[in-house]
Amino acid sequence: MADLLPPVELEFSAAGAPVVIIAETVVSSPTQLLRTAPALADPRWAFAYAQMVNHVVQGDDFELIIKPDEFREKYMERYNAEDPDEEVGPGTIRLHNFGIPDFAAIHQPMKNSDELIFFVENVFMGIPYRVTMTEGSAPDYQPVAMVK
Amino acid sequence: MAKKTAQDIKVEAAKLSELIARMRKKDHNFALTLGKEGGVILAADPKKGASVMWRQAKANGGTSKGCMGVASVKGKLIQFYPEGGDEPPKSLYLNTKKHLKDLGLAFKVAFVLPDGAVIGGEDDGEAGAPMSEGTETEEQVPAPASNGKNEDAARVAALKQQIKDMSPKVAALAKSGHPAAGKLATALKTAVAALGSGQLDKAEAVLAKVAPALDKIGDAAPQTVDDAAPDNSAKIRKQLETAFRPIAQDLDKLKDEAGEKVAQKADQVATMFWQVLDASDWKKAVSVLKLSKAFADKEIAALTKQVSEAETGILSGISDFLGDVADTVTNTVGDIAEAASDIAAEAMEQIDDFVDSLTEDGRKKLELQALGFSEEEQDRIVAALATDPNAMRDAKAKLVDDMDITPDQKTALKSIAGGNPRTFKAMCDLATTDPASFAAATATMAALDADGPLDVTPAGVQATRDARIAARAAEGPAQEAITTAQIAIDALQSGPALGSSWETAQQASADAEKAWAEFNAALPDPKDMTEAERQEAMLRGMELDRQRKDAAQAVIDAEAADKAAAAASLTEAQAALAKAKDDQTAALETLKAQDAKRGMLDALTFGRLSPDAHPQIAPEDKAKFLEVFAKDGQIGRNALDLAAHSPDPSVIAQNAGFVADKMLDGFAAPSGDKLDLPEADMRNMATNALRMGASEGQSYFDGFSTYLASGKQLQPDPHGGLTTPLSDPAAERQRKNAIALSRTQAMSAAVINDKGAVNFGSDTAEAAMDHMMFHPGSLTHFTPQMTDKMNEVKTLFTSDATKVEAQGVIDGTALPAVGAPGRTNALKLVAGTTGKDAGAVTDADAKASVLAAMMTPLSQGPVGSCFSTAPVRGIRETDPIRAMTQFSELANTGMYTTPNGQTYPANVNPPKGENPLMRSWEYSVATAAAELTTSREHKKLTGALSKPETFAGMKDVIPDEKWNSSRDPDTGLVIPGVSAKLRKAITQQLKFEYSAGPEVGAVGGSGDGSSTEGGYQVTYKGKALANEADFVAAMKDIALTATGYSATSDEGKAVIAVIEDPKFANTILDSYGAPDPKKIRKDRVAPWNMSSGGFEDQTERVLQGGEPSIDNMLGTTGLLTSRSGRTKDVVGSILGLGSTKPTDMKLISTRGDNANHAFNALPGHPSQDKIRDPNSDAKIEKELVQPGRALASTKLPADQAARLYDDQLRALLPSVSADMRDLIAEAFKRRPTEPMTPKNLKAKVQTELAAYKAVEAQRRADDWVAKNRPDADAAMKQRVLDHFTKAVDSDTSADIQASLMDALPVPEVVIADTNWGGPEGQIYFVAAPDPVTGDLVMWQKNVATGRMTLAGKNWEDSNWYEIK
Repeated sequence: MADLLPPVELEFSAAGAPVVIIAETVVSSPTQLLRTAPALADPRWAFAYAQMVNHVVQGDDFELIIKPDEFREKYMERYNAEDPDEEVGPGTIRLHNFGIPDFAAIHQPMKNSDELIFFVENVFMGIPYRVTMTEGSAPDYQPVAMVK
Repeated sequence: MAKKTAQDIKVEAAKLSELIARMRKKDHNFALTLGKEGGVILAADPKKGASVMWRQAKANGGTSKGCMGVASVKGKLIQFYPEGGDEPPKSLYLNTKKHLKDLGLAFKVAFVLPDGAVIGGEDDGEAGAPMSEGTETEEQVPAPASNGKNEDAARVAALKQQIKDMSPKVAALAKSGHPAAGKLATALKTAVAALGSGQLDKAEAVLAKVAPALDKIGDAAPQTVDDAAPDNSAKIRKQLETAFRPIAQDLDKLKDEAGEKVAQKADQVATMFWQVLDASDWKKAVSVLKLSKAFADKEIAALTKQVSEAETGILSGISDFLGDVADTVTNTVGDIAEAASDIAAEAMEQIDDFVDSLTEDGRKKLELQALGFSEEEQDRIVAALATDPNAMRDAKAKLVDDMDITPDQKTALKSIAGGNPRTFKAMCDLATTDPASFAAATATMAALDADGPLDVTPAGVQATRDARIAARAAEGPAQEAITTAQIAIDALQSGPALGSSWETAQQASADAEKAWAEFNAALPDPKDMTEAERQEAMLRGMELDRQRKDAAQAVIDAEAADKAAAAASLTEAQAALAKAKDDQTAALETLKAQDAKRGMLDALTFGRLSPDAHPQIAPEDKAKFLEVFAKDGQIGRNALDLAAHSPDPSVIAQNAGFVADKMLDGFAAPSGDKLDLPEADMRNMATNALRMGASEGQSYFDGFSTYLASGKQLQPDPHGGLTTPLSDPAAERQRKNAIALSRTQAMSAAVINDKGAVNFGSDTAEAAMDHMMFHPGSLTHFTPQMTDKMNEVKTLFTSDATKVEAQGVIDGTALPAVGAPGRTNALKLVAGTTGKDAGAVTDADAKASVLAAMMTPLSQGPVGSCFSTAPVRGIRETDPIRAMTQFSELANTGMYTTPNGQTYPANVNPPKGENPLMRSWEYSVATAAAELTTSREHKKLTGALSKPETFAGMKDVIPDEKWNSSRDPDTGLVIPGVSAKLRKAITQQLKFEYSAGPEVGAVGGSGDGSSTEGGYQVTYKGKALANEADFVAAMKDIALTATGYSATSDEGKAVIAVIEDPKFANTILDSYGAPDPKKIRKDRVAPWNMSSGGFEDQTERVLQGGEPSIDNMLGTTGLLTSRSGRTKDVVGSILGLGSTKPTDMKLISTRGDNANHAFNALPGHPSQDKIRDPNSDAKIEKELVQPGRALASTKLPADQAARLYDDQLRALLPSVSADMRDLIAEAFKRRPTEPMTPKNLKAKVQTELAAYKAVEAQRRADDWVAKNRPDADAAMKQRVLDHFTKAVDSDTSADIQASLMDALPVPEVVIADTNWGGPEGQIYFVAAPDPVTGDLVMWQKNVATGRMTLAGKNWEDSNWYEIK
């Protein structure tokens, strides 16, 4: 039930591990989220569920994509600002290292049956990942296909 | 016994008289033996040792009964001083006297025995009246001077007792070999003599010095040096120094008081001792110490002759009452003499030779002596030089005439009789020791001398060089003359030159015409003229007409003459130009022939074919190498250099001639068609073919021969190997990348069939491989490391151990399915690697691209980072199947997945032109590692900024509702408050980026990819936070952005106050490390001052999993501080890594000043076998450290120094302009003429090239400014010039160091693979002594060429870590 979504905080433990505090329960595993907050099964909370899953698994290293168009614009702005002829060393991040992703495939968080699907930006690289998670399993992070 | 004739006796008497006359002038070492046929045999020489004389006497008919030592002649008395404990046989004295008498020589003979006893002598009565042994009387032996005087019996008794007490101690010291024993024995002996002569004061004074010395020495036995451990080195050195100190005092006394020659010797003895001591050659030091002792004692005794003479008589005279005391003393002296005699004799001879070498005459004599000329002949020949400058040469020529060699060989040998004496000697020796090589050498000389004997002396070579310069100088004027002549000819087409005879003739013709015209115009009507007037006019007219016609003809003649003269000038100028060119060509050919001859002779004298060469070339190969010099001197030298570093020198020996022949024939096909390439390019090709053969063996040369017979060498190289190198470094790198990529594309495509089966045995594959091995393009742009990789891949697919697995990887390689997430990137990688369009690549191309990646050396690229390359390279080199699997997965998926399941899009943005698939693996791994590193650093910084004194402290100045997060009621999304925004800003806006290093000097980055100055830095909005102020400013910006406050608002000011509070930065600093009293604030590690180094541990973590740590290899205590010591520590730590096989690699890294590097140790390299445990420390000392000291302290002979000097200059010639050539040509004239140490040679090269270096630096600076900063001001230009001045100086320094390392027998140990390199070569870290300083240091060695370059002290001084 939508109105039963308890208070949520996205925090880090003293050791620096990401945790989600639901009401007063500290959750450190994505599979615990639904058990702690059953309301997350409601597709209405897909955004919140995706945000919590992503936080508890990746902390600040991946950022939930809520507005795909804004992400695309930001990505292409950064991409086009790069010098395509620049020779970069290994470990130096440029979007040209990876290409242009299939923006059309990126959408807002959603639930498809019992599968939660959402997209995130890898903060370090700046590229999008598609995340899928079925109930009771760990989320799977896979790079969005590059099309160019 | 055949009776001697009168003539025999006369000749023998004359010879002996002559010898005795020389002995009168100078003491001689002698040997005197009983003759086999009666009489005695005497051999004596002022320089050669007595042992040599002993052999000579025996060779001249002597028996083994006799004695040897030093002999002198004074007046009519011949005194023999037997040494080394030799007691003359009883009959020797009598027979000697009889022999002299038989020869009619009226001389007395005395044997002065070591104990002072005298047999015969002045009191021997008349010559020929022998005094039988045992007939000495008290009258004949000097009695103690104290006898009869008896002035102070108590003093005498006390002295006797002292001597009696001290003698056993001195004897014990002598027997144990104590270095001080000799001096003490002499002192004791002096005291005895003084006592015997009644000089009681003196005896007391001497004993007063001996007593404390004995007390000080005590019972200590001398160190046994043979097995001395290095740890005892300092102790041994101190002992030797202590022992030498009193000897040094004696030597100083000799230098001050003895004659010039003895003083010189004393100086040399002392120098020799300190040299061997500095070289830590303890055994030799002891020998030299003994020698010094013997020499000093002898000469000091001579100085105090008065005492010695008294002592001589006294020793035996007082023996009755001194009893055992005197015996002990004499025995002690004898022991010392015996111990030192052999070494001393030899070393004394060396010193004599050295003294001789100080004078020109002395040098000549030494030269002759080395060739076996007798003393008399030496004197005669040297004396003859005063009137006959060719006396030496002629003497040598005569020597050659007497040799048992062919006439042609004699001719060849004579051609160098006037040159380098060492070379002549080496060739003479070769004729005896290795006739086959001698025959080959002389045949080569004969071939090179075909147009007349080549003068290969420095002067002879310089003369040719001068001739070439003169010819080149003549070219310019000749060219100008041609131009002038041509202009003149052209001008003559339009008329005469001003003032020319043609113009003069024209003027004259015009005048004549004018006169003719005026005459006609003025001529009255004939009817109005009288007959006489008509007659006169007619004559006048005829005259003017003749003049007019003559003038016209003169014009024609003058024109022809001027034009002919101009044409002649042109012809003459053209001839001059042709001559200048011909002369240059002839001089160049002569220079090449001289170089070949000189190169071969140098190799035989002191080079790789000399008796001292290391390694030694097998006798059966020597002749082969020698023959090559007749074909091409440079190829001959290159072949020898390659052989010296090859595991199979024979294969080079047997094929170098073949390769040289092919080169001289233009690598012609059977059709006769040849390569149209410059000679230098073809020589380079030939050398590279030899280099390939050195690693591939005989099969390479067989294949090369077949290939040349096929004519394929005449086809173009589709890969661009024959394109012209580019001057722009970036463009040149692209050219090389394109060639390398093209080669792997061709090779990989050739070995895989349309079904995906890899077959290196197909015709197509073999043809492709042949191209890589033999084609001129492949041998011109030479990529041996890449060829090695191709062969390695071939082995993977043909070896039973790996072929199934290898083929399995290829079978499993296919492009991702359409629609698969990674397909686009996989297509890009496969297309780039195979050179095809991304829309056209197939699964077969994917398979081929994996092979192509495997065929590309995985080295650190020009913009690379060691921290990613090293771990990946380690896998590629040690586990090629795993590497191939990684390439396959990238092609299969377009993704890189770490062992722990993290997936990344394959990096498709490697440096332009490099193999995309190969480099994608490294770059993708680096991306994963950098993410791990960044995450780690973010956590660290986030932790620091979570403390109450930092961002967390802002909570007090920000309302809770703003500080805490909230929630979107519609979506449930958590909306971050300031606290979360600050945290996210740290993660998202503070970037941790690796910087390979700052720009070098004034002219841009090094661009060499060595990444030795790299480290992480934090950037904010694209700008590095270089200091604390930058960091604080960034924090304020982040805070204001997160809060939304303006900096001028009260809230904003409160936020800023938190950040500007010193506690904020102090807390950050403390979070990064406790305060270090040794570091000032700005040097402490902080976000604005990250510790240097990279992320090799994280790369290792990505590849191998786990949590790798970086551990100090060297430890923290007991480290040595000298350069040799530091290097020893490093080498020891590499040995400590352990290994199971020679190909083992172990990831290590360094942190230091310009020495931040990750790379792979080679702890199993075979070169380390000689220093492995047990006792590796001692072995490092013996195998690496000590040889280095010896190399640095040993002077190179003048000819070898000159050869190295010349080679340095010659190496510069191909790359310099004509005017620079003149500068270098001048430097050639100042080649070394004296022996010099490597250090001095290096200094000389640097000094003599000063003019060249200045011009070259200016040229490079001007070029750089013109290209990069045409608007540079004077200050900028000066900075650029300073940069290039340093660079040129460094280049020449590196060149001479490399030459020294190549020419000298420097031991080395390979310790690590640097990652640096590529298709053309690979660089190793090597520990080896520096022959210039003698220190054990680190070098970079090019595996392909063998060139050694000093790595720099910073590498030894850096910290070394193991990643495990």
